[in-house]
Amino acid sequence: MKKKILLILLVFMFASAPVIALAEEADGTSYAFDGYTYDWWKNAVESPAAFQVDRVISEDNMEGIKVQGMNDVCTSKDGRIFLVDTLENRVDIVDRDGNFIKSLKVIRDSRDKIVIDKTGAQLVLNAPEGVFFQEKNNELYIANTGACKIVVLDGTNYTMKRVIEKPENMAGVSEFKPSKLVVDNAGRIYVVVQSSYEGILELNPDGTFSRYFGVNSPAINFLDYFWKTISTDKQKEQMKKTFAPAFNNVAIDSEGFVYAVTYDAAAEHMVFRLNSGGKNVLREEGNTLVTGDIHIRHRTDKSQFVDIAVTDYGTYAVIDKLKGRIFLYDFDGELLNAFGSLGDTKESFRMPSGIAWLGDHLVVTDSILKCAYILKPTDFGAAALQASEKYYYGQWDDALALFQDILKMNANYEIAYVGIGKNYLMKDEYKKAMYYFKLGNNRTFYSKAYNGYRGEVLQKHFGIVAAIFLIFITSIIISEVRYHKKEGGYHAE
Amino acid sequence: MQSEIVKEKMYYLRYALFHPFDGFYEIKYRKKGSTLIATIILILYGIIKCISYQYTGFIMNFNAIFEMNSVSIFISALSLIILFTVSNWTVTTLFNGKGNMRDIYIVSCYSLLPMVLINAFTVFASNFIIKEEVIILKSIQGIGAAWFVFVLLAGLCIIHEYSFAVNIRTLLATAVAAFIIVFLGILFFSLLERMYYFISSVAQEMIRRIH
Repeated sequence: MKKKILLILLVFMFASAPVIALAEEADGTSYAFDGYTYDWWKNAVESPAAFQVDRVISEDNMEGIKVQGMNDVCTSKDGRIFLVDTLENRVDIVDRDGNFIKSLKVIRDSRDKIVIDKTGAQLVLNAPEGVFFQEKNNELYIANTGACKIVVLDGTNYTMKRVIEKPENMAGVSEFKPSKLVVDNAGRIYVVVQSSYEGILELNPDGTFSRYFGVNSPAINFLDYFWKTISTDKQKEQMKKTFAPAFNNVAIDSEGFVYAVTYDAAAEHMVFRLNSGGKNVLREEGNTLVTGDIHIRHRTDKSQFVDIAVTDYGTYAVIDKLKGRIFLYDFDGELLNAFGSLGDTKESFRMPSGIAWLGDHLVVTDSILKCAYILKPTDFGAAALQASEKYYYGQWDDALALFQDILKMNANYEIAYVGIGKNYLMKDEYKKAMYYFKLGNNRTFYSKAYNGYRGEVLQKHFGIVAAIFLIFITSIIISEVRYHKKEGGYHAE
Repeated sequence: MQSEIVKEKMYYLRYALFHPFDGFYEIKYRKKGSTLIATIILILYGIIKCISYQYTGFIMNFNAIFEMNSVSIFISALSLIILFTVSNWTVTTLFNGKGNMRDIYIVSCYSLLPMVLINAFTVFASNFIIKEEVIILKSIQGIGAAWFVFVLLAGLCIIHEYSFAVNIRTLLATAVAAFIIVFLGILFFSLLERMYYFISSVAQEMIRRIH
């Protein structure tokens, strides 16, 4: 009898297993991605994924243009997507629905003639690796890596504007081999040269060299440090020098801060927010540092961020090529969501190479799959992004409503608890604020709320508190007096 | 009669905490100590460890309460003291210490009492503080810990009839001994496990062959 029951139970368990595997997310849709985030104890906790695949842009969209691998992506405000195909030497331009607009290979001038350079050869793209669209001057910058040039095109009809070659006044030992670039509103060009240990190359708008920008300090290896302290100068000369790790990609936000990422395992930080002095001012106030996955066995298992995309409200997405994951961080460095995977199934990546925001959508390129994904936010993702935006701009009430929505979809979202708690704290509803701060594991703000609550209670029961205090004081005085009387009597004897 | 003996022993417990040198002298040579009281204190210490894990106020409590295991906290708190008692005894018998295991046990348990009481107070008070006041409770806890260390050192000096320097030396040796004991314990249990698997696999093999 018992065995039978056990058997039935087993059958039920196996029957329900696939159901569990296909279980829907909290908001009622099933996603291809599994999301997670880190809680206060640095445990990975489940979370619905913030994005799902909306559309795939591949050779089918290109009207006969071959695609061999997309290495970088950037978008314009009006929804054009610029995709860099290094192997085909092309920059393909599509609109937000994936409709083909143009493919650039041979550069033409405004009279539609092919540009001829000084040596008499046609100006063609040669293994370009990066592209950037500057809204203010309506210019398209292409890092023509193979030809060691930067090509600047008009942003509307893609005709030649100018070519930036190696500046004559360039200092340092880095090659002028522009790989990724961004341009700020003043027209300054920030160029990443792969494997350059001198930092990001900053060029003036006219193409002259300005300076090296940003410091990427290597992490200290204590064993190396120890050997170096006890070795002689001659030995030191023969040792391998520790160079600063190279930056691998850049992005720029609306305030002109340059974001950079590196995937060098020797680097101390992975993501940088560089101010105008080149100092890293990235906020890392979240549960974890901004390093992607934290449960790693070895230094080489660290997440390898190949690209970063920044929104106007400081939330940024970084993409990890090691595990194919996209990490969303808010302006505080709090991990909102991590999702995505490598693999051969639909909607997973093979070798992600670039990421860019397209409104609230994300465009992700993959160099092996020869396609770009347009990811659209899920209900949870949309709410999380909006809440982050409202919170950033100080629209507390809108943020509160969104946070409450989010908690219905994802009860593991600590940021929402803390956000709601802060809202109640501002309204002096201390008890509620304490409840939410406790759920959100935020001790600093819990302390602030508790301070208010304690003050309220003490004020309400002032009589009792004062009485207890008075009794305490008088009892001390009485005991002191008695003790001294006793002492006095003893001495008198 | 019985209650009077208990009363006297309780008096010497209090005396030992405030005057450890005289108190432990009385306890060792005039038999004023009680292993029963010592054991009760030890159990209280285990309980207060569990309580402080769970009931310390949120602001000071960084423990993952959802994965709390009170049995393991209790046993690890107790076994630390018992490990100390055993390893200190093994060392001091070699270094001409006059104390026997009972004395060491009583000293180490008695000296826990101020820490237990102070921790009980701080656990209670930690529910009514804000972040700026954490430092106050931390320093009160520090007083408890310092008191514990002082009474322990003084008590060990007296029962072993050691000078302070020798006492410190034997304590360092005690740490080494404790390490060796733990190492041997792990070795023993892992060997036992292997033996168990060996026997059980032989038995399984036999059962299969016979069938």
